[in-house]
Amino acid sequence: MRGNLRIAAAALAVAALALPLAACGSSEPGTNDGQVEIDFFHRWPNEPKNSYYADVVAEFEKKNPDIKVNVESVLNDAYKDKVKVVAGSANAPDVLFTWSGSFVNELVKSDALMDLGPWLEKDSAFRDSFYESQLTPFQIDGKQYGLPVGMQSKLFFYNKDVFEELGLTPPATWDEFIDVLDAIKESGRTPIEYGAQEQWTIAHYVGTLNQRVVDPAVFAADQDPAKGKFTDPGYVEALERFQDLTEYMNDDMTAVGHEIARNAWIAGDAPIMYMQSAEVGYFGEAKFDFGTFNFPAVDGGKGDPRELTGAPEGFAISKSTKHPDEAKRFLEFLLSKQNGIAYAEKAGELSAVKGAVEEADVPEISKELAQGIVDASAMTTWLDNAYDPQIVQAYLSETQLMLSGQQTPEGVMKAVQEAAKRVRDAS
Amino acid sequence: MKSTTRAFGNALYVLPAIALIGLFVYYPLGANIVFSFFTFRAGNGAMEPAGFENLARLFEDPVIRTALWNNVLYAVASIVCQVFGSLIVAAWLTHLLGRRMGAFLRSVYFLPAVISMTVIALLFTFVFNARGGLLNELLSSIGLGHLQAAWLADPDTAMGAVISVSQWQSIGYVCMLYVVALQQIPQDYYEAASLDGAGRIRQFFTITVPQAKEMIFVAMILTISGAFTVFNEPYILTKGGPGNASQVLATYMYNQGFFQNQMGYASAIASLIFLITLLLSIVQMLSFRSGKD
Repeated sequence: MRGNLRIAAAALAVAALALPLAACGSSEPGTNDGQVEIDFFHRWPNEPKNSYYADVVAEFEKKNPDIKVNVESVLNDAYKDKVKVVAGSANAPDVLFTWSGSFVNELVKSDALMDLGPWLEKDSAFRDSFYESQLTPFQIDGKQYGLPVGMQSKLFFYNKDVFEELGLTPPATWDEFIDVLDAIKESGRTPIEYGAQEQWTIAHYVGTLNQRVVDPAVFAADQDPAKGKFTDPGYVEALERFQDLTEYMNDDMTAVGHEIARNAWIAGDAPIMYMQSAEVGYFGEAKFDFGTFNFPAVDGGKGDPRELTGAPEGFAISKSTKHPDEAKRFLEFLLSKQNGIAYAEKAGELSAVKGAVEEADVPEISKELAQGIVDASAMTTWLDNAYDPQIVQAYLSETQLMLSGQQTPEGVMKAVQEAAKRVRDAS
Repeated sequence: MKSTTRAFGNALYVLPAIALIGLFVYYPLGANIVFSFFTFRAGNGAMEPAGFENLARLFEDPVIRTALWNNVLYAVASIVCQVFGSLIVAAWLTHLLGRRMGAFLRSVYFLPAVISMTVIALLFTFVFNARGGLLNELLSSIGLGHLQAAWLADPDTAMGAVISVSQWQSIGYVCMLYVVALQQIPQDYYEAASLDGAGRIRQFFTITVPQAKEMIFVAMILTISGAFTVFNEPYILTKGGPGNASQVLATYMYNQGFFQNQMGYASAIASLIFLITLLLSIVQMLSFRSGKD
């Protein structure tokens, strides 16, 4: 009798252990009440975008009671690392954030993304709702792997009050730029605020300078991992120009993060800073009028000075998704014009949906910035999205040393050439 | 017969632990060494044999040299501060201070060891901040303004700053280990020594140090293998920057694997780390011949 009791107790304990497991098992495929679960992975655990996306998801679930969206998010650099591991695995999120250029290319090389081409062909109205120029950066070998959510461009933002006080106008050429910087320096101010602690800020300066200086044919050829050599003397010249500019920047640039630098600019410490269009949303506290100008032409530079540096970011669908239709429905909702307008209004981003920013209730400068991107002769993608990560790593860390005075432009390019050789050999 | 069944029964008890260790320690260890001979990316199963390419690259890569050197600096600083510094602090806490004061200060020293490294690292980014950071403000307020630096952003000071944070955190922990060892030394030894006219310092070197030998050995293994596998501090404080100035082997391995997506090369670096720590442990085991006497 006693033995039986013990066995019964043991059986109960085992059942108690097994029950929750069984529950997990049944909810996994998402067949609860016919409801389908999809996973959505983005890179904004911070405000205002975190709540923007939470709202969009809640609204989507209300309209589509048969779909449940699980949201996960990690910030920027951590996202870059994490998504490379989860995408392509069995636990890949169904809908995920991606940058354009080499980042989406990396994911495609890992065989992680679904080709959206056939879907967009059928649903051409959806495809045509985006600015064409914002779709191409997501194309790899002619196939569309991602759709743009926001447009980005990089411009010099300047303090109009200071420019007016000193009688300056936004420069268009390098000489004019240097004259403006000299004039500001003579008035006892630091002309340009710069935070180079995070390496991506270096990518933005160097990427633009490379485009302005280097022959466009060479510049384009070097973006091909199988051909990139980086031996053009223009690359060294671009870095020398960068060194020239640092003479007009705050001395402690390598010790300052981008956000701290931006706050210093907002506080009026220096009148000029190189920033992204999306950062306008942070300027609320600025007590001065501000304007923008594109990176000036470089004398003797072979690139088109009307090009704008920047690239869209967007979303993609996992190749291994078990619910492609639900994922597409979610993506279509996420990137609708209505949400594009909300994205501009609530998050200060420039939606890549035609007309969304124009119709949104946003400051005039946002509309100008969006128009500037649409009108640009071409977009130069971010340096850290243009090349293989090995080249990017060598380029940025060596240039960071150059900013600390421990590396020369030639030395930087030597390291880049070595990395490019490894990439060439591997491809 | 009976003893064999008994041995079998005993083995049964050890089996789960062995299976778990095998699955989570030895299998990954072996797999990692195999991975070093392949080229592959995260999130994609396709692996191409690479022969000795990854291993050869270890010897050519200048960043490996920097990282290795930084690890050595880490180890030297850790031995000086944690193995020897902590012993002095521990002796002071157990012998020189009263019971109450000693117990209180023990907790004070131990406190950093229970704070999460992430919190500490974030805290120290404020201390080392170039613009109005605590350290720079302190220097200028005591008239040493010329010593101010962009601690974490200057290639010359970044590694030193990172190392100092680790010492700050770990001294208390090792100290605690020593306190336990020192409390077991019979008081008679010290009494006898003082009767013979030995001073405090002589007592420290002829009684405390030999008696704490076992613990010194343990602390040595802990700190040195810790120094060669360190990751959190440099990763959070500098990410190996500026440039690669404060890169250590573990952060460089992470950077290669998860940023540059060179999983094969990252595995080779991991194997190098394993080899170094293995060799160091063997050397230490042999030289201390621990556990026998």
